[in-house]
Amino acid sequence: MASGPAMDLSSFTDLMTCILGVLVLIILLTGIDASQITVLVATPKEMQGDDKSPVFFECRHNQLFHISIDELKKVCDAKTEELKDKVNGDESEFLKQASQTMLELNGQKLDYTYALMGKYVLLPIPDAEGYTLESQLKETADMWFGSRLANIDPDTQFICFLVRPDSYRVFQRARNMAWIRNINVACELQDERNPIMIGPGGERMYMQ
Amino acid sequence: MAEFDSSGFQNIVLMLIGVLMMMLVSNVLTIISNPENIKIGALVTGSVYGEDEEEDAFIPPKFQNMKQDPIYVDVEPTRLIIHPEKKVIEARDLVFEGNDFEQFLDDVERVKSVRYIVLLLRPGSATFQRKLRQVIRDRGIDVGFEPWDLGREIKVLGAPETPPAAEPAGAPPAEAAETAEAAEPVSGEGN
Repeated sequence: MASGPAMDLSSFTDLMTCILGVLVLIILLTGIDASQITVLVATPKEMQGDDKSPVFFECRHNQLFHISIDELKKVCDAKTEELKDKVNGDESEFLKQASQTMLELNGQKLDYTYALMGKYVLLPIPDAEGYTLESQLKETADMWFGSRLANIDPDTQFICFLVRPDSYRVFQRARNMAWIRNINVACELQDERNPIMIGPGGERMYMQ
Repeated sequence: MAEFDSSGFQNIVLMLIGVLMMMLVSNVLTIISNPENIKIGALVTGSVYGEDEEEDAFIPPKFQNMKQDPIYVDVEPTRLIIHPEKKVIEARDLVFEGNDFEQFLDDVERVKSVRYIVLLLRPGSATFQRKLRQVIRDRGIDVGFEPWDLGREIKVLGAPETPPAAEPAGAPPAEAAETAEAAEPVSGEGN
């Protein structure tokens, strides 16, 4: 085989080696940049044109308490039947008994008199234990909050978090889980001990 | 000087360059797809801050407002602070007609198609924020909320690094020691 004139490739090799070094540096820099990505989320704005129904959770003592309207109704109905049997149809006695009745449910005290008028006034029980949402990664669909999330229909329901001042962290975790499941969230800030009122005459909650 | 055959070395260098180029493209794509680079408006880093192990699980929700730029209002129990100017308005001053907050809302109302107000709610501000929210709603201005821990700093990109504006006489001291971990609200163009 005929061989052509010898070509000195040492300059080309030097060039290649330099490019290699520069590339290594660039990759190091971009790699560091890429590994430090922070996921930033634009604050959702309030949506006023949607008519999804709310599912309530209270965030208190960095714990979650579920406020189920259906359960409240059931407890009130059961109490009404109990009182009716007890007073034997005496209306004034019924009202007297009702005014002295407070029900307890899921870490809340429910004012029965208001409940008879269709308004649920819930007072937090200070020592009540709620659900501690330790980690959203470990929260599976068979656990307390995970199972409740799984039962929410994102097309017809949204979650309303009633957040006490000591519970921002658990709210953020719970909201994150809801967002991942495409569930809308509303946040209603509460004072430390004020009662929660749900029913007619209140302010409408808008999801974000 | 003895000659040596460097063609084998050249081949290795060329292959390495090829591999590195692929890595570079991969890194660049990762950075480009980073939401931080999209110049989004208001941010809720609060959803993940301080919990490194949780960050990986976070996916930006579809509900985020990518169409309007935010104006941050820090809501404390007895006053509000408009960012980035750090203009302090006392709650008691809101009863007067033509107060600073009304003027602020007048300005925002003119550009409400591209701006919205984000209320950063400090602990204890529940009652005050309800009033503010109603006033903002009545103007037809879009509003968003974010519970914001006491003492947690509010950093708005592009804001001057100056101390807060002088407070009116008799104003309570700033509750926010502003030493805690930083969030990074970034103002920019919506996407």
